[in-house]
Amino acid sequence: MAKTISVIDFAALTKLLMALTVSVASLCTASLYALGILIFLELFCAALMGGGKVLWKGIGALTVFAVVLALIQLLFGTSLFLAVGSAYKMFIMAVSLLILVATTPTQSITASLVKQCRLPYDYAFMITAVLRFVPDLLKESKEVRQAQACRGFHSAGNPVRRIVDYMMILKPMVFKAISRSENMAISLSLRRFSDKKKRTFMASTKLNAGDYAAMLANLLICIAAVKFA
Amino acid sequence: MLNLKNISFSYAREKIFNDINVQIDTTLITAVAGRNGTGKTTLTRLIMGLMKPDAGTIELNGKIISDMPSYILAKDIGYVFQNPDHQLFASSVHSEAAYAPLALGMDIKLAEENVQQALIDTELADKQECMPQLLSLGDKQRLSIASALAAVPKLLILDEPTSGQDCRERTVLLRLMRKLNKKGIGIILITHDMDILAEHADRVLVLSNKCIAFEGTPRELFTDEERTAALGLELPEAVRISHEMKLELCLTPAELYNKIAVRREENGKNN
Repeated sequence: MAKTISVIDFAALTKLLMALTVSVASLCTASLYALGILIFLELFCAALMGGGKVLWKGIGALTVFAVVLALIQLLFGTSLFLAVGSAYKMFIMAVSLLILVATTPTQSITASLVKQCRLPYDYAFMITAVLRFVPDLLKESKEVRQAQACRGFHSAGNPVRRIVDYMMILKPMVFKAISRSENMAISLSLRRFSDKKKRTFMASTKLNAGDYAAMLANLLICIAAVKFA
Repeated sequence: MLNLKNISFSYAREKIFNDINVQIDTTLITAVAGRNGTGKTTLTRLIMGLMKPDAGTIELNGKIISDMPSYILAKDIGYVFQNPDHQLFASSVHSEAAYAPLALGMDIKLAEENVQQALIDTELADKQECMPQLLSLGDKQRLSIASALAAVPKLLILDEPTSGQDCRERTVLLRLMRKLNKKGIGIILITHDMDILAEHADRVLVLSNKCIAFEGTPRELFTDEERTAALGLELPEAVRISHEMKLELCLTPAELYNKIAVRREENGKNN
């Protein structure tokens, strides 16, 4: 796990609401200036909250993806304004989620969704379980690719051929994911998952003054960016 | 001969190997042992081209292979992962085993012959139409081996092939390993099981402190009890009992049984 240094640590709810407001704001505006301000806000928050190498690597990858997305749209005749705008929007929404996941323990997200957002525990658990298994799946996909390469697998040629070839990677992963989810379901049942409606959480969900200030500042910046930019 | 010359390798800024030099006879069964985290799997992944060394070269029969990608090396080296589920994707045992020879561009007739031979060798010939995902762990592991064998490799790397298997499946697999070696396929076996190592390996490499701390035969390894403990290895059961009974070093239960029988005979004569 990469070492993370955070200047400030917000509660999971604060980060959730910030991600939500920034994403909604990006959908409500077409102005490139406003979207630029939102991107700056996100990058500033990312620097403030830490997240380390993983977060910045993710942001780097998303930047490349945003550029590719804009270029593809330009190739198919979309105007420069729209192409850049949609790439900006995709970047803003993906980065907001990335910041939330990279800087918040999954237990805190679950606790916050249940205690503060009043989401049923089953659904909150589903969301956090998905987030929890993303790194595992990435690691697994690398291992599967290596195992297939040892048998002569090499994806080359035209895109259709490559997609067909990738079924070799996808199939073992799907089988493993199904088996893992079965095991997880059994293991959870054995530990009385959903047995009681009221449950306790170890993760603290308490909001402090910094959280309220951050939420307010974030909300004001989003409104200002959408209204006046 | 597989020749590792001056191999150094780091992972996430941590030095795993520092200037390793070793020659592995590719006609023998060579076991790779060592504590967890000493780089046993990393060493074999370097050989297979799944990782690239920071320095040094790896040669197979005089040809430098350290800069070759693994899909090319698959012609010469078969690699069987610890977890067979990583590679099973086909809808039948036959098509799973046929993947490697076809991917390597082998003639269809020859590929079919090789697949059939590999399935016979691995005792899976009667399960050709079964779905790989539904096989037992031992069958899955042997299917992974069959899949590698169908490409007719010169060397087979097995990463802890017996882990999680029951006694019968373990015996079948070890018997298969011996049979393949007799057919001329060199085997590199990563194992934590000292009983298997003592009974089946011709040579042993023990990794410790970023280098190869021991290289020799199992008998040489287990002769020195203190060194074995310092390398973080347990003594095999037969070796431990032969030490306790102050017998000559026995590597296998059969050897131990014979020695005990001889001693009983001698004691009988003396009495």
